[in-house]
Amino acid sequence: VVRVLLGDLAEEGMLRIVSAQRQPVSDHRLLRMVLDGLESL
Amino acid sequence: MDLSRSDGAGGAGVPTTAKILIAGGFGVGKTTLVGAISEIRPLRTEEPLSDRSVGIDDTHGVGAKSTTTVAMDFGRISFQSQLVLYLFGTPGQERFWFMWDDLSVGAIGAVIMADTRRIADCFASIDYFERAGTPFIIAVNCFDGARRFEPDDIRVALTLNPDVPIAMCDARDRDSVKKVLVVLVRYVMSWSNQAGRVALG
Repeated sequence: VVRVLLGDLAEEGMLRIVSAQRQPVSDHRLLRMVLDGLESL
Repeated sequence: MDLSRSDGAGGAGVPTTAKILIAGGFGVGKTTLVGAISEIRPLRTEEPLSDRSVGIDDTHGVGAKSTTTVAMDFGRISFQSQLVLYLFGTPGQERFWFMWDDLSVGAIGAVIMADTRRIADCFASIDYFERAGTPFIIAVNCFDGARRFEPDDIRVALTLNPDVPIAMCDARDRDSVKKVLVVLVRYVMSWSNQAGRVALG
């Protein structure tokens, strides 16, 4: 259902889908942002 | 609506996104955990357990369970205007494992939930994330009435590497879930440091 919905929305130009990287994320800036965000909850 | 990948490089107006997977066996509390911390009403794909799952889904120890996730759970936490964390709960049963490959793409890491009454149920998740090279931690959901074990005992039972964190949690409690996610992200940071050192060495 999600794939069909996203496919339809993308076809209509209502969203842009950017490929995710296949490898685990190791960007320290991103991880620090997530950590700070979680700790601030 | 734009979707940005988890690379910390969101452009102007496009939030940077990160993804964490919540995995584990059938009935371990994945849906509950996502619901406890998500800022939105989680997208759930729960369906009633029917008599067709008798003999297939092992409800031993979770006799009160009447529904099961058939695709995924989806929750969201926005920290600032430019950072959004997505939580994806994976379906627990073997017949839905084909979903895991898609769900795990681009994930920071995974929380594998364990129930000490059915500890073997998380072996499949551990095997999967070890093979995929995705960092993970174990979150033991401390069910009411379940026997308590020390983390070291659980580590031995699951034959985990000494560096894999084990966190005790209550999947219903937002603060408890938050602590689990913090443990995961801290571990991923140290894990990627270590991986970098190995690559450089």
